[in-house]
Amino acid sequence: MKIFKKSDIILIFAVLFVAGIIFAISSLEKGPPVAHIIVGGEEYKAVNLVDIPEKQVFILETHPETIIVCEKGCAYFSSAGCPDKICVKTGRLTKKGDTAVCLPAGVVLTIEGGEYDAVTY
Amino acid sequence: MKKKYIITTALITTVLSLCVFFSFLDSSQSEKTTVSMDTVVTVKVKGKNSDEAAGEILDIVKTLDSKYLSRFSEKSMTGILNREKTVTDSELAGFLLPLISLSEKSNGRFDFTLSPLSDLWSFTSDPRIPKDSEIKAALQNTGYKNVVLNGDTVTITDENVSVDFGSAGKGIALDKIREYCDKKSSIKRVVASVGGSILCRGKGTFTVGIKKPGSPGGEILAALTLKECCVSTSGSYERFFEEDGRIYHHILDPKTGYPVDNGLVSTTLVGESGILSDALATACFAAGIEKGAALAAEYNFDAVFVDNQNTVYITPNLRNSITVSDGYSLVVV
Repeated sequence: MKIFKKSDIILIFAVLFVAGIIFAISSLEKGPPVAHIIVGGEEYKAVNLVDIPEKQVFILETHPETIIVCEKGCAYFSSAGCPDKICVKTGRLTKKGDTAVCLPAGVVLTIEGGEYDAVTY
Repeated sequence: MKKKYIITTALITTVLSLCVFFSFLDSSQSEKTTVSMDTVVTVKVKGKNSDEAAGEILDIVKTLDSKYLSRFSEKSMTGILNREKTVTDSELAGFLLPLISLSEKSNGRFDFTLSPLSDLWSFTSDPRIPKDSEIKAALQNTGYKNVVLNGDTVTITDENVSVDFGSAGKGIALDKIREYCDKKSSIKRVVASVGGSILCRGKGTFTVGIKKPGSPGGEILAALTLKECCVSTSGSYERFFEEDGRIYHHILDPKTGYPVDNGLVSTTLVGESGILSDALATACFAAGIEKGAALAAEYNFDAVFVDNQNTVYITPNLRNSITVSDGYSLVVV
């Protein structure tokens, strides 16, 4: 006596396929872009760049002083007291994985996530 | 009919339970970022007590820099070596041994004693084009051959020469992170980035993007799918300045004292050792595509070279591991 008919096997594969899809979707990067402001290795603020009601300006009392702006869809260093201004020149961060840094002030601005485990540069 | 129903229900329950189980495993992860070694350090850890492990990994990098690698600290072993000109320390000697060997194998295209030149160009603070005479004078104070190892004793034979781990320190940090992870069986998966030098450790594959020059990091020029390894990149776009329409970048030719000018934009090295990935990235950039690929092969490393025409040259082993973005063409060397 056969335990499984052809239709049973199709059903089993269908269930496995659907479960696989559910697992794949649950594993995917979820949620809106969130900007993280990290000062001295500690998170200072996390800002959801989709639900942000209005432009937010963070004046950080770092040495030198740095100012970060978060608004709908982007975050950026608007000014920094460092000599080279690399962080300001990096411009607007819009994509997951984008990062700008002010090394003299020890401030990292990064948008969480991205489709890669890491980016080499 | 009833039997079929039971089997199907059991199957669905098992699969869904597995989904929940794997989701739970995934949730035990931590990511931390800090500024250390004059660069950004990010670590992502999966496994039990991941938060604690991530914190300890960042501490390892900080300690490594202050205790050993920083040439700006008087108390670091590098600071002491540069001042006293001789130090006996097995760890320091262990860092320098592969670098001396690479300097020789690369015919001096890699040199870890270029600080008089890099200070002159001053790419990190107030960059300028030095006078020819200044460059010639600074070149007199460089030369890896002046650094001699005798067991654990490191000696600098020319009082004006000094050691600089700037082109290998990030890779050394990766090796130290891996050493730490090897002792912690609770850590299942780690991705650490020390200023863009990457350690991938754990089962399965990792996707590592190569940053597109000029982008803040979210945009890449190519993606690599790799098993556990170290990945380092040297790029002319990281520290540079423009004057009279010409770009001057921080990867200096140890023979001329000027930025390497061979049409390359970046080199990415993939292999087991962190220190070698970092140092080889600089060496292969300076050596160019043909000689660089040969040098990488000597160390059993794979390499990606990107030129200023948006052509991506890869060594054969990476053929099935790389995808290039639109606008870039791929050539196997």
